[in-house]
Formats: sequence, structure tokens, C-alpha cells
Amino acid sequence: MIKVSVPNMNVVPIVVKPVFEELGYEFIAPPKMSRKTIEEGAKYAPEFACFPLKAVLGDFILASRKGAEYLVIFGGTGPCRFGWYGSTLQIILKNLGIPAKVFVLDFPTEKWARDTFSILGINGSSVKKLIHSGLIALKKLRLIELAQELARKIRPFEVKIGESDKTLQKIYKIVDNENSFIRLMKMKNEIKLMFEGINKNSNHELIRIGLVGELYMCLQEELNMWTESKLGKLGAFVDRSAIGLWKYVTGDIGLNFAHRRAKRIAYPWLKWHAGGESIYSIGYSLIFERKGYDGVVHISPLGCMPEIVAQTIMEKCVNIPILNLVFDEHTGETGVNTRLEAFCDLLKLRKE
Amino acid sequence: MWLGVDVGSVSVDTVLINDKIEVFKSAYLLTAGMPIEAIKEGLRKSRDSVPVLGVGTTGSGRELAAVLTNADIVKNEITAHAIAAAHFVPDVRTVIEIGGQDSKIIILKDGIPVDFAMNTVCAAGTGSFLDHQAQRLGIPIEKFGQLALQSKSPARIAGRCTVFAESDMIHKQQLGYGIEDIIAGLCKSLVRNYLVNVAKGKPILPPIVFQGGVASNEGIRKALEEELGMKVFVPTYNKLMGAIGAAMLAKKVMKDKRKTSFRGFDICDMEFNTQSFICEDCPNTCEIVKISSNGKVLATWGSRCGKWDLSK
Repeated sequence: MIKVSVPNMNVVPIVVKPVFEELGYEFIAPPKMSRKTIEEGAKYAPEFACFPLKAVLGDFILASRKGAEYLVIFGGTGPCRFGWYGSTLQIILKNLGIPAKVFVLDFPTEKWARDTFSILGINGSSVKKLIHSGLIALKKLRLIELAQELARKIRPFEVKIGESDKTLQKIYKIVDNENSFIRLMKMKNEIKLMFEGINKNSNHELIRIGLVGELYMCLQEELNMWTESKLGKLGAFVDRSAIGLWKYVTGDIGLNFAHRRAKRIAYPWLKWHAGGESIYSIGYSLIFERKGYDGVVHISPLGCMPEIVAQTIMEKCVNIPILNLVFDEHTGETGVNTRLEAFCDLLKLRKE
Repeated sequence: MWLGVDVGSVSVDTVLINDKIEVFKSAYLLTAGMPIEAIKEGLRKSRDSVPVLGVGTTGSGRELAAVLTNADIVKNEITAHAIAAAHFVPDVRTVIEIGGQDSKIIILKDGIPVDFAMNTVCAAGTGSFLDHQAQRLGIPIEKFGQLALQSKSPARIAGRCTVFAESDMIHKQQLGYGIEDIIAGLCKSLVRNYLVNVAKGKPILPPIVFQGGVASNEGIRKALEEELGMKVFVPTYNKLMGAIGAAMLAKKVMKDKRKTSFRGFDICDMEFNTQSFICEDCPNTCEIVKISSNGKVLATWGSRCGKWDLSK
């Protein structure tokens, strides 16, 4: 059986697992992202490559050591330098003497369709089965995004700090091990009950922060030093409606109405995609301001051109405080903690 | 009395303030790589028989100081500095703080911080670099500023990076520039570096308060005033502002709490042991630090998963 792996990107390995298994591959989950992944990636990637590339490279190296032969990544023409990830990664892996092949999932083009169907043919999988596994994957994604949303709501109020993070990890495991569509359908209430069981302390003032920025950096908490969870523990409700896996998939083919709205709102300031998520960073920051949020946290990797464009425009058009956090493999956690804490203090003082 | 402890990268400052935020007793000590000893020594110097009603800690070593003193409030240095500056200069709009290893700018409006920035990767232009250069030139750091003021035509020094600044200084020395011109040039380039890298396009409006250890340096202060074209105010206790801010925060938080959790000044004579090890249970390989006293573990930190954290 051919062994396939994907990079860590929030919960992507959990979500895509049933599809690959249905297609007749053996799915190798990359090891949970850690210091080691980042170090491995940073060692072999070009120094000025974006941080996500280094992380993905680390994942691929570790996954290929576990035996993965096919490494699957989104990309193709891509919104920014991300479009080059597939080919860059392939060259780096080849130079390292790793025989694994990088497979780039692109927009549904003619070539893409041909490739996909040729894979189907080889492994004797049917379209019906594929759709079934696709639905399971979708359901898993929706369940996990629901759990993350609940965790974001409860985190500022938890009595025992860190409890919702633990619950979230538990849910990841349960969802990962469940492969029956019917039982997944029933899991929604179970997840809600798990979060309701957490002790809450409701009598303190809440500050509301919108999270915008580069997709991968916002989603992969190991790269952004757990910004979302730390802000929650500092007593802030973090709105991550600007970024999400489901949004990314639907937004890319123009089916997400919130994304369309953000683009429309950003239009007076940025008329066209400047690459990456730049237009959404601007649009959603303006939406957060209109909603009366207290502040915006903007996350980007070092040297990300689209986000630098967005940052400069945001300084001009957004009238609530913005905290710009730039990460690379050298970023120290203490500095990030100090900034997050100071930012939350600043927002609280402004409210008084 | 309210106690404030600011544990920075280079110095430990302790301060005792009274209800009117007047400094009653204070100490400024160099950490010299032994923060625990320095904190103990600082507390010994500001020890007093009057009861302490609350303790606040700040600075990069705030967690450590909080464990040692069992502080009532632990706050980041940005908030502490802003609060202290707004107390001494109520209409302050800009706070420039240059400390041992980091520099920051805080923009305030109506006494409330609205924006801030900190140096990111580069420590050029902070106290440690000035210290190092003063040592290399054989000048006591206290006289550094006065010497800079004597210069008539400052030399041009590259300020982008400390390594380049140093080689540029050596080059200028070899060309025969006077030492005061080199020092004045260094001050100028460090100020430029600060304005480009830290203040980066933030609106710098008067009144400006300049605090932190480097504010004691007249050369830097003059260079800052020339570069900005505005008067810069240095408070009397420029070095202690962080600690004063922490003490003020302790005073504020004790409004709701009745009794302080302060361990008492006896901690000056207590023995604290630190022990560090690397947890190999997962690929994160976190460095765990354990602080104990008399065989009792007071605190552990450093683990990402929370396995080693003590339950509070």
C-alpha cells in the first residue's frame, strides 16, 4: 500500500485521513508539531523562506522518516509564494536524498481531474465511496471547528485555567478515532455537553479581540506561540471568524459570503488581492471595528509581503488598536507573552 | 507602604512607596547573572519596619520575583512603565524607555496607553551595548554622557547593528578622532536606530518622558532632543519607574483584596535553590526550571503541556 502524508495545519491530518484511507492509501499522520519539526525544517529551508515553508518542510522530513512516499500539499498557482511551496519542497527533499514525491493539489483544473481519476483507477475505489469519505471528512472538520469555537468562548471564563484546551485535545482524539458517519452526526451535542461541564466564572469584564493575518500562522498554534489560547487566558474573547479551514476551502472558490463581504469592505483601501490573506486582513479588521471590538491582533510570518502590505494599510484605515506579531523560528516566547499581556492591559484600561 | 520589584535583564530595582506615591526607600542593583541574590539584596536594602500592604513585580524576571516574594500582582513592564510615567507627568503623550536589553515606546492619550512597540530582534542602542563600549574604551559608564556633551563635531557611526557600530568605532579611533566625538557619534547613531527600529512611524508628541537606565546618560538625552527637535523630560527616578509602576499596580489591586500575600522581608535570609532539567517525554524538549526553598518546591515553569506546573 502506498503511504501518504500531509503537513500539520491545525487539524488537517485528522480531517483528510478518512479520504486517503478510502482511496486505498495508508495514511501516515505527521508527528505533532514540536520544536523538533521547526528545527528540522529551518535547517534545510532557505533562510529567507517564509516560516510556514520551514514548518511544512519539517513535517515532510519527519513524515518521510516514518515511511511516507507521497506528500500531499495544497498549492499550485497559489495566492503568494505559497504557490511555489510544492516545487520548492520537492527540490529540497530531492537534494536531501529523500525519495518521497510531493503531490500538489491544485484548483480543479483539467489536469487535476485527470490526476485524481487516475489515482481512483489504480486503487479500485469508486466515486460513491469517495463521496462518502468526503462527507465524513467534512463532518469531522465542522465538529472540530465547532469545538474550537466553543473553546474560544469559554476560555476567558474558565475557573481552572487550561481546562478548555485539555477538553479540545480530548475531542480531537475522539473525532480522529470515530469513522462512522451516523455517530459523527450525533457527536455535536456530546461536544457541547463536554464544554458545558467546565466550571465558569462569569463575573468579569470581557474584552473582544479579532484575529487576522496569514492563514497558516494563525491556525498552527505551535508557530504563533499559542497566541489564541494565551489571549483567552488573559480574559479576552478571540474572534477567529476571519480565518478557518472551512472558510479557506469555500472562500477560495468564491462560495463564502463572509469572505465576499470582507472583500467588499476592504475595497476602498485595497482594490485587488495583494496576495495571501492581505485583503481579508484589512476587510475583517474593518468589520471588527464596526462590530465594536476592542482590538485586533495581526499575525504574520517574517518577510510575508502580502501581510506587510495589509499591515501598512490597516494602520491607516482601522481605528482600534492593532498588535502586529511577526514570527519566525527565532522568536522568543517571553517577548510574545509580554506583548500580549501589555496589549490586553491596554484594551482593558481603554475600556475603563 | 507598597513594594515594587522590577527584575530586568541587567538590573534589579526595588522600591517602597507610601500612599502618596512618594519614594520612601529604593535600591538599584546590577543582576550580574544572579537574579535571586540580587532580588534578596535589593529587598535587604529597602527593608523597613513599616508594614507592607502589597507587592507588585514587573520586568522580564517578574515571574521569578513573584515566586520569591509571593507577589499580589505580576505585570508586564510596558503597563508598569506607562502607569508610572502617567503619574509623574499626567499629560504625557510619549514614553521612551531604554533599558538594559530592550527598548520600548509607549503612546498615551489622557493618561491611558493607546499604542506601544518594543525592539524585536536587535538590542543595538540599549544599555548593555553602551556598557560594553564604555568598558572597551576604558570610561566609567557614569562619565559616558558627560564626555559626549563635550564633543564639538560628533563622528558618524553606523548604528544599524552593534557589531557594525563597534567596527566603525574602532575604524574612527584609528583615524584619530577624539574619544568624545566618537562617543557623541555613538549616542547619535543609537538614537537614530531607536527611532527607526522601535518608534517606526509612531507619532511622537510632547510631552515626552524618557526613562529607564539609559535615560541617566546625558549624551543620549541630548541626541534624542536634537533628533526629535523637542524637549525630553527625564524623571528623577528614571531607573526606578518600572518598580514604582509595579508598586502602584499593587496599590490598585489591593483595593479589592484585604491582606497581602507577601512572604515578608525574611526572604532576604532564606535560601532558594533552582534546578533545571530538560523534559524528554515529547519532542518539544522543554527546559523545566524548579525553584525550591527548604526542600519545598515553590514553583516550576517552562513546560508547554503543563505537566510540571504546580496546581495552585
